[in-house]
This record gives sequence, structure tokens and C-alpha cells, in this order.
Amino acid sequence: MIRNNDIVSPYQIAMITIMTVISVEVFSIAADTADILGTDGWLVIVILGIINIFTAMVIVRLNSIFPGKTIAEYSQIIIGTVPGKVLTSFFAIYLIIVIAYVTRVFTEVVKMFLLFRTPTEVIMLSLILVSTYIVRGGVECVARINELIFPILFIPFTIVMLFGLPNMDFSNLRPILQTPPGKVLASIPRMIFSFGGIELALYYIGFMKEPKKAYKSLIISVLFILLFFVMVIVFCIAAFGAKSTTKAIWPLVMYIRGISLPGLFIERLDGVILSLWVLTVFTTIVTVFFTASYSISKVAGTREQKQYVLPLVIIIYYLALQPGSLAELYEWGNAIFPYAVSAFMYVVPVMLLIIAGLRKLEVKQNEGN
Amino acid sequence: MGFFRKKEKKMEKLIISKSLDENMKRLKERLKDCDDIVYKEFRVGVEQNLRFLLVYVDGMSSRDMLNDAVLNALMVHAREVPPEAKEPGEGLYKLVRYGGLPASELADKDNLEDAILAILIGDAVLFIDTTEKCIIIGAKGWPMRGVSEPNTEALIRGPRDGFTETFRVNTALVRRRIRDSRLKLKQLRLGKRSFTDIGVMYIEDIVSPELLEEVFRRISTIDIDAIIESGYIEQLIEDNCMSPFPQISVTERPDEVAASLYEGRVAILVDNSPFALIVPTTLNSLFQSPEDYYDRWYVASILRFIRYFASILSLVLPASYIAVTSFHPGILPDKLVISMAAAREGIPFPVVIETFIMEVTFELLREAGLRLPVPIGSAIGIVGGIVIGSAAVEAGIVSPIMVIIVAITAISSFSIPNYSLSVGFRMLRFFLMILAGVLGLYGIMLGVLLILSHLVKLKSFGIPYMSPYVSFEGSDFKDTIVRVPTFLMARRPILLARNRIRLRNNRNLINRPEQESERDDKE
Amino acid sequence: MKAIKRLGAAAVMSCLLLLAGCWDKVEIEDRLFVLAIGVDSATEAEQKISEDRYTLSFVAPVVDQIIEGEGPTFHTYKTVENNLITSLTQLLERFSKKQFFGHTRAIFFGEDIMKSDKLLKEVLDGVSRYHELHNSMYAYIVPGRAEEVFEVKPMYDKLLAPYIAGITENSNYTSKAMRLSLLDMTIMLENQQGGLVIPKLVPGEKEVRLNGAGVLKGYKLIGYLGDKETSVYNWLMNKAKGGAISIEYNNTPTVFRHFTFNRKIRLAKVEEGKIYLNYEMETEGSIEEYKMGWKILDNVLLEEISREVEKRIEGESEKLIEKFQKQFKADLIGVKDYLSKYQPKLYKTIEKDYEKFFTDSIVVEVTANVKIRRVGLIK
Repeated sequence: MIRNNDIVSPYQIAMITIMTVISVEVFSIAADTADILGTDGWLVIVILGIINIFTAMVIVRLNSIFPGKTIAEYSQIIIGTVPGKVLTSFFAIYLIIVIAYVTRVFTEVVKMFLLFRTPTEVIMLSLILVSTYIVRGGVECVARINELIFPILFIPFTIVMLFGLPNMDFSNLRPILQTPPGKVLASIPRMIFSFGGIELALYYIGFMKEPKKAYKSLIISVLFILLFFVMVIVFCIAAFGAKSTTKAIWPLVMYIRGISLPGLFIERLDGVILSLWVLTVFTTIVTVFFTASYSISKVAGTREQKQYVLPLVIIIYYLALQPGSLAELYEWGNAIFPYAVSAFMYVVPVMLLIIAGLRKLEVKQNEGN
Repeated sequence: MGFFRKKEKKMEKLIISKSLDENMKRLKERLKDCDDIVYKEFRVGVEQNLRFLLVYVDGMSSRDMLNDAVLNALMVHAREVPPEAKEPGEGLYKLVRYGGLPASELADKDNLEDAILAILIGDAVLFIDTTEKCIIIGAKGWPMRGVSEPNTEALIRGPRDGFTETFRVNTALVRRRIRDSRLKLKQLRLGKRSFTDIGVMYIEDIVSPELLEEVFRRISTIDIDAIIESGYIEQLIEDNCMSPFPQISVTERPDEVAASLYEGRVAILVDNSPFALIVPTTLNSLFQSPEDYYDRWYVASILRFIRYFASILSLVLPASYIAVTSFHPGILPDKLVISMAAAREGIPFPVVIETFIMEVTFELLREAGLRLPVPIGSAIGIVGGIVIGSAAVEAGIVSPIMVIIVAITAISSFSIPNYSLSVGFRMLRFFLMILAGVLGLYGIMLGVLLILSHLVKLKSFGIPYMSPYVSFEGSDFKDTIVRVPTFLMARRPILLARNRIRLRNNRNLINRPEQESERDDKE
Repeated sequence: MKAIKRLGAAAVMSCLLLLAGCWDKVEIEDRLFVLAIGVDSATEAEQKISEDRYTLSFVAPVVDQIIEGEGPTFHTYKTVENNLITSLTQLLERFSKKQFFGHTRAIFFGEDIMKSDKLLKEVLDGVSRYHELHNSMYAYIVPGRAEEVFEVKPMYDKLLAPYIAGITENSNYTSKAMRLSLLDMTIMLENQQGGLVIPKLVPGEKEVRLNGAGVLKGYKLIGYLGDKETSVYNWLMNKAKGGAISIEYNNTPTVFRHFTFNRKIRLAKVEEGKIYLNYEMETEGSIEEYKMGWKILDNVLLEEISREVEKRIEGESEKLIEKFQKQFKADLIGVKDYLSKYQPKLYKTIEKDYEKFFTDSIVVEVTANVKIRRVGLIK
């Protein structure tokens, strides 16, 4: 039997990053940024994107010190076995919370616009269970599904977004750049979570043959995400104006609901696009899910990650049911993610890189595995 | 054939004895009650003292050929020219073997077991008294179907020959398209009772060695009494038996086999079956038809696009109908929604049930039409058309829009070029219909995700089933939904082939000579 | 074997899911497609209990009568309730079908609702919160009561709502009609602190007429714009597309028909605490009618006619601007929009007491630029 080779290509790394970062926050990102900076909301995303290009470079640099190893493995080399395992466990907990959060937010969106009376549990559980099927297939399958879904999602989505052009008034974007720089800088921490997901590259680059090739893929994917977010924000604000954008919980859904295609079989696109959006939420869940179960298997010291997938489903399901309401859910999200994301995306890679540098850990070619 | 794990025979080996009578006795014992075996004993020589025995299966060996090459040669011609070797034994044997039989295919065997196998395969075996060996005469000549156009894969443009049930004819049809010494044909016999001929064909310097090894390894694990059709082998060596998607493609067309071999695939030909197996297979290759390469590129690309579109339609259309009508009518224009509601007014069943009734009826009709002889089959079509088309609508059991949906679905599913793939899609269509009935569009998406996940997980002989859509590789995309002009398809698929360059781009050479075209204008 | 067992388990699970399932399924023929909603405040006669505040009217097609049939093609349903959502759901208590608002094309506000800021705010919040309603539906004010619209039996169309929506979409061809989606309505109310110009729909016996517009300030109706004023309003707001302007030239009425109409605002100067704005209007079109026997394909003549049209546009516009400044005291003509977008620094200085500033210290000058491109088929 020809075994899975468990190798991720540079192109797949880019797809994984894009599909992971872009998930449920796209629905609300326009409202969040407009809330902070009004018409200049896109600015904070641009700044964050530029910062994250450097983050991506740090991540790739760190990974290329240990080719063929993921953070769960090399953190044990850098800071010792036990601290490394503790770090990995924290990572796993964070990732599990992310899945629970994403699942729950998406369930709320689905319940609001597609299935009003279907129990939350059914929507949530079906989505998680479907994702377990692919997670059990290992990293190769996770990478491939990201690769496959990317065009299926973004080509129709971009076309649909363009159909909204007649509703837009680009003068709504004015005044441009009237926000004082201090306010812009102060707003960065509040939006930091929007790029959360890049840190998964710490894991996935470990499956690449040549980690150095990830520089290009990661930078391109950060730029793609940046442009995508800016497009969403600009379109929403152009359609509604900054003030009304702030009022909506999910301006993007509002935007899509406003599109109508008279004279076609399908007039309203919200149902179709929201169903398509299942795809990106699914890929986010799958990618994060795999890393979570992989981290646990590394902490426990087992070779396979399969056996942890189903038990994790129960935990995720339990966690996702905890927030009592949408308000509580968003409150939790705002309480946890800015800190967790900045810790795992910025602090951990930088610290590890510094420690590795101090300990003079050299590039070891093809060691281990 | 070392990879073919030969089972140790429990029976003791039967050796050919010197005595013809003894041999005959042993044969008759072993082939007891096999009344189709012909034992032709005859004497040769001026003195008529040399005893021969010709054994073959009636109907499987060519009687003309045996008459000409054996009986006539030995009994008539040999009488005029007395053999030099007067002594029976080795000398006589050699004389007969190398000088007496004007047949093209001869072999020696000293083992009665092999001789019996040869008889059963359709060869004739000649025993000579006082010799411990026998001569196998290649005299296979059973009644066979001629090479005809394959029914299941008719093309508008392309060669008209198709495989037959005879292994040898099939290998020859492929060989005619690849006159390369590097085209290899490895033959083996599978089936403990059927001893079916299997041929593994590949082009040595194109195919990847791992793939070849994997194919032989999988074939060698087969331990079965009989292989009647190539489907037996397909099911015994495929990767995932639970998958609704065929992981091995099946074709009746030698041109398709040859094209696949040039791409670095491996073909498995099986005796008694006009269907050759091609491994590995990807979803993309199942949407291809040989014609795509014979037609001009944009024709092929449009057809490919239609096929993909049709397959998606046949998969999700009934499910979408359910989801849209009973869950999300909001996405339809108001005029359409009102006329749909008006059409459904008074229909007693929910849309899900209605769709199931119609889809099942259609499946019944299709199956009924398939098994019946052609004239009755078309009658079924008429009955079905009336039953589904008007009577059900008139009776108010189904709505007219449902009929349109079923019809479009049916038409779409017919345009999937691969039969077993279209059957897989049929199955999944019902699966999606159930999901749509429970969770609407969200259910369809979940179903689609499951299907995509499955496709992504699936491999055919180590090749991802979804390649080249996954494991992105630029040059492989030239032969997907769009087939680029032939001169641009310079490389073989990356995952399959080793020797990747296929052709050199000659476009610049074609369009260069300007002087000539000017001269043409003057004329 | 393991795979088969797993498959079996999955099958059992999905069966369980199915048996319990179909929570959201409503057959299409069981839905009542509400195509238009009318909101009125309840009259005392209608109030069953004193808390009832709204009278809601719905119109939904009788689907099987539309394609063939002699009966009425749509029915009107009326409910009186305390708030919007309960009145939306109240129908479920009375009818077998479940109403569905995904195709609602129009919402009519009665005059009395528009006069009460409390009721209007509540209705609008309810309407924009409700997930089934698309906020791209058109909004109208009805002088009198909104339910009167539903008594109209349109002569030329089978259904009422598409008929009204169709009229509204004619605003591409006539500048007198105005179109306003619910989304635009809420955005405008939001941005203008309750200021709004909303198209007025006048019900008749067998037809309706989109005629003029209502003007709101602080979520309260303060007056109406006439037919022509609406047209001018469309010019000012850069919402006009096609339309006709009739003028008199040489004692003969003639018509300038325009296909495009663009308005640009420019800050002319800031002087002595006053802001001078320039509304530049540019339009292209043709002269469609003059007088038999007269040749109008003449550059000088056309110049003169276009001067005439320009004068007319400028005069009417300035009249309307003055009406907004002096009579309504509400900036609904896009001044604030312009200043805040294009002159943010200037706007900051006047933001505080903007309404007073608008009436006193903003001077708007209108300059029109009319280009007559064609004169029809004869010279």
C-alpha cells in the first residue's frame, strides 16, 4: 500500500492559511472596524496585515530552524520537554476554544438566516461530525480539502460581491484618513484577532519538505487576506455608510441580502452565499481541529492523532453550547481572543526564536522523523 | 512471474510416461466425464508403427488448423517422405517437433498437469508413444465475436474498433497503437479453477516503478477460484470498496487504453472480457472522453464544461429543489415562487416525498428499459413518459415543475461519460435529497462537504483521486475542465509519468513561412 | 468488516436524525407570500384592548387564482396588535397558511404613524430586525391610512404589490417618481437624526399614483412635497435619471427630455461665517416637441432653449432649497452629507449647532448646464 506521504506543498500552506484566517469574523469585521474608526476602518486591517507579514516571516524563520518538525516537537527541543509539552497543551486548549467559538458563531448565523427552528445542537453537531471525517484522514487530507475548497468558495463569492456594486455609493467612504494616528494605533489591539489563524503555520510548515518555501506562500496569503478583508469592509461601508454598518451585527450578510438579481432563477443570494460560507467555516474547523488533536497526540507521545478526534468532539460540543446568548458569545470572544491570539501569534514564536537563537540551535537537516 | 504466488498443488505431479496407453489412461482418468474432449489416436509412418495421440477440447481448438498442421502433415505428408529416424523415442520426437508440424506455435511439456491445462485453454496436445514429453500445439480457435464498435462508449470521431472477449485480440489492438519495444505486456493466469489470462500492460520508461510494483503486488494478493470478468479484478484490487466512486476506470476502447498507457497509467486486460481496466484513475479522467483529444480544443473544452456542469446538476438539482421549495423560497424571484406554489396547490405529498416518488419511478424506468430488448425498451420509454409526464400531473400526484426537475436531472445524468461514475452520482443524489429534506441548503452543503472530504481522502493506487485539483501542479491543469490546444500539452501528468516531455511546440514553425503564403495568394 | 460496522452506525445515526428532523420545513403551498405590508396606528374603533397600537394590513396572492380563475387574485388580511412582531405572527392564529415575508416588496406607512415618532421608531426597528424581511423593499407614505392602498383593485395588473413596485421602478424614466428602499430609509433617518423624504403613494379607485413625497423631521411628518417638487428634489439629491422638463419658449410649451442628470456640489467659499455652496447640475437630453412647421435643429435656437431650461432648473431648485431651509428647517438636500464627507474639517466646526447653521448660514447657488443633443426625427 502506498502510504500517505504527509507532505504539505507551499501552495497548500497558502491555502490553509487563507482558509483558516477567513472564517466567521468576516461577517462582523466591517461593523467592528467601522465601530472603532468609522470610514477609516480598513486602515487598521491594512496596518495589521503589514504587521502580520513580519509575523509570518518570524514563523517561517522559526520553522526553518527545525525542518520537518512542528512547533509541538521543536518547542520541546528549545525549551525542554516538560515546558514544551505545557506550551503545546496551552496551544491545544486555545485551539479547541477557537473551534468551539467558530462553530457557535456560525451556528448563530445559520439559525438567523437559514434554519430558524432547527435546534442549535443539530446544526453544530452535524458540522463538527462532518469535519471529523476529514481530520481523521491526517494532514494530507486537511491540506487537500483547503486547496480544493478555495476556488469553490472564492470565485462565486467574489462574483456575488460584485453584483452589489449598484447598491454602493463610494462617497460613503469619505472622509478618508481623517482619524488621528493615535486613535488608529490604539485600535490595533481590538482587531488583532481578525488575523488569528496564521499561527497554525507553526504546525503546518512542519510538514513541508522545504520550510523556506513557505516565506512566499505565507506572505502572499497574508496579502490575500488583507485585500479580502479590505474589500469586504469597503463594500459594506460603501453600501451602508459607516454609521449604519456599525448598527448591523453581520454587515456582510446584510450586504449580500441587499443584492438581487432580477430576471434569474435565483433572485436573492443570501441563502446561497451563506450555504457557501459553510465551506470556509468547515475548513477553519478542520484545520484547527487537526492541529488540536495533533498537539494532544504530541503531548501524550502517541504516533497517531486519530484517536483523539472523537473525544474532542464532545469537548468542543460542550464548550460551544456554553454561551447563553449571542451577546454572551461575543463577550467571551472579545475577552479571550485578543489576548490568546497575540500570545500565540506574536509572543510565542518570537520568544521561541529568541531562545533558539540564544541556545544556538542550528539548522539540522533531515533529523528525526 | 515471480510475483505470482503459485499455490502448491496438493495433488502429486503427474509425469508423462513413455507409454501412450498409460498417458491416455491418466488423461481419461483426470478428464473423466469431460465429454467435450477429443482423443484422436493415429498412426504414422510407412509401417504405421508410430502411435500418436492428439488431445484437444472440441470447439476450443481450430479443427481446420489441426487437420492441416498435424493430422495432414503427419498422416499424409509424412507417409510420402519416410522419416529418417526409424527409432521411436527422442529422435522421433525431435523430428516431429522441429520438422513435422507446420504450426507456428509449439511448445514442449513433460508434465501432464501442464498438458491438461493447455488442453483446457484450447490448445491441442500431441503425445507420441515412447516419448516422455508432449507437444503443445497452439491451436486456439474458438468462435469469437469480431472486432466491433463498442456500444457503451460510442464516439462521433475516433476509431471504431473495440475490445472483444478474446485476450489476444485485445492485446493486439493495443499493440497496434504503441509500436514501441518499451510497451510491455506481462501475462499471468489468475483463478484457481478458471486460469484466466490477465495481461498487465505499461510503457516501461513512462510508468512510475512504484505504481507498477503496487499493481503487481495487489494482483498477486488475489486468490480466487474464477475470474469471469474484469470486474472481479477491479473489485479485488480497488482502494476503497465503500466508495461510490469508481477508482479504476473501465473501457472498451483500445485507443483509450493506449492513450492512458502513454500517460503513464497501467492497463489490465482480462480474457473473456471486452473491458480493460486502467489504473490509477482520477475523477478528472472519468470526465474525459477519448474524443476530447480528437476534436479541436475548444470543442473539447466546451464539452468538458458541459459534462462537469451536468454532473453537478444531476447531483444537486432534486436536492436543491427540495431545499428551495420547502426551506428557502426566499431565494427565488416572487413570480417564480408564486407559480411554483400555484403548481403545488392540491398536491397531497410534501416536496420531499414527491421528489422521491418521481426519482424512484425514473430509476425503475431506467432499469426496466436497460434490461429489455431494444424494441420493448422503447415502449417502456413511451409508457414511462406518459406515466411520469402527464398522467401523474393530471392526477394531481406530482406538480409539473417536479417533472421538469426530474427530466433535467435525468438528461444531466446521461451526459456523464462514465457509467459507474453516473451510478455513483445517482446514489449520492438520493443521499443529498434526504439531507436537503432535513436541513435544507445547509444540509446540501454538509452533504457536499462529506462528498468532497471523501473525494479528497480517496486515492487510486497512490494517486489522489482529486488530482490535479488537489496537489496543485500547473501543467496538469491543462487537461481539466479546459483542454488547452494540443501543442500546449507538452507534458505528461506529473504524478503519473516519469518521462514527461510528450511533444515539442511547433506553432512557430506552422505559422512562419510567409513567402509561401504570399505565393499562394498570387496563384 | 470494520468499515461496514461504521457505515451501519452512521446509517443508524442519520436515521435518528431524520426521524426527528425537518424542523424548518414548510411546504411552499403552505406559505402565504406576503407581498406588501401596511402599517397604521390603530383607531379607537379598532382597538380591542387599549394596548393595541398598530393596524397591520398584509396582501398576499391567492396563488391558484393567478394563472387561471375568476376569483380575486389577492387577499388582504388585517390585524390589530400591540406591536409589530405580534401582529406579524397573529395571522398564524387565524389562518392555516404560514405567512412568509421573504418576498415582501413594499411597506406602506400611514400618515398617522409618520406623525408619531415613538410608533415610527418602534416599527422601523422591528422591521429592520426581522430576519425574513429584506430591507431592499420599497417604503412609501400614504396620506390617510395605509390600509386604503389594499382596497385598490388594480385595473391593469393581477397583483397589487408588483404593480406598485413596477411603478416605483419607473423612476428610471421619470424624475417625478421617487424610489426609496427600507434600507435607504433607515440609513437616511439615522444620518439625519430623523429627517427623511419618503415617496407618497396616493390610492385611488382602481389604481394608485406615486405622487410627491412626505418630509419627515425628527421622525415626524412635517409636510409634503408636490409632484414637481419631488422632481426637483431628485435633481438636488442626484437621484434623477430620466424625465422631462416642460418649459415655455416663444409662448409655445416645449419639452426637454433628459436621460442623464448629474449633480455635483462644490464649496464656493467660506465668508463671514457663511458657507457658500454651488450645486452644479449637468443634464443631457433632447427636445421632443415644439410646433409644427418650426425648425428647431438650429444651434442658436437650441442654445436659447437650453438657457431657458437651465433657468428653469436653477429657479425651481433654489425655490425648493429655500423651502427646506426656511419652511422645513431640515437639511435633506445633501449639504450635511457633502460637508461631512468632503469638508470634514469645516464640518467639525459647525457640527454642534448644525440645524441652525443650515437655515441661516448656508447659501446655496445652483448652476445648471443643459445640453440638448437631439431633436427627434424631423428638423
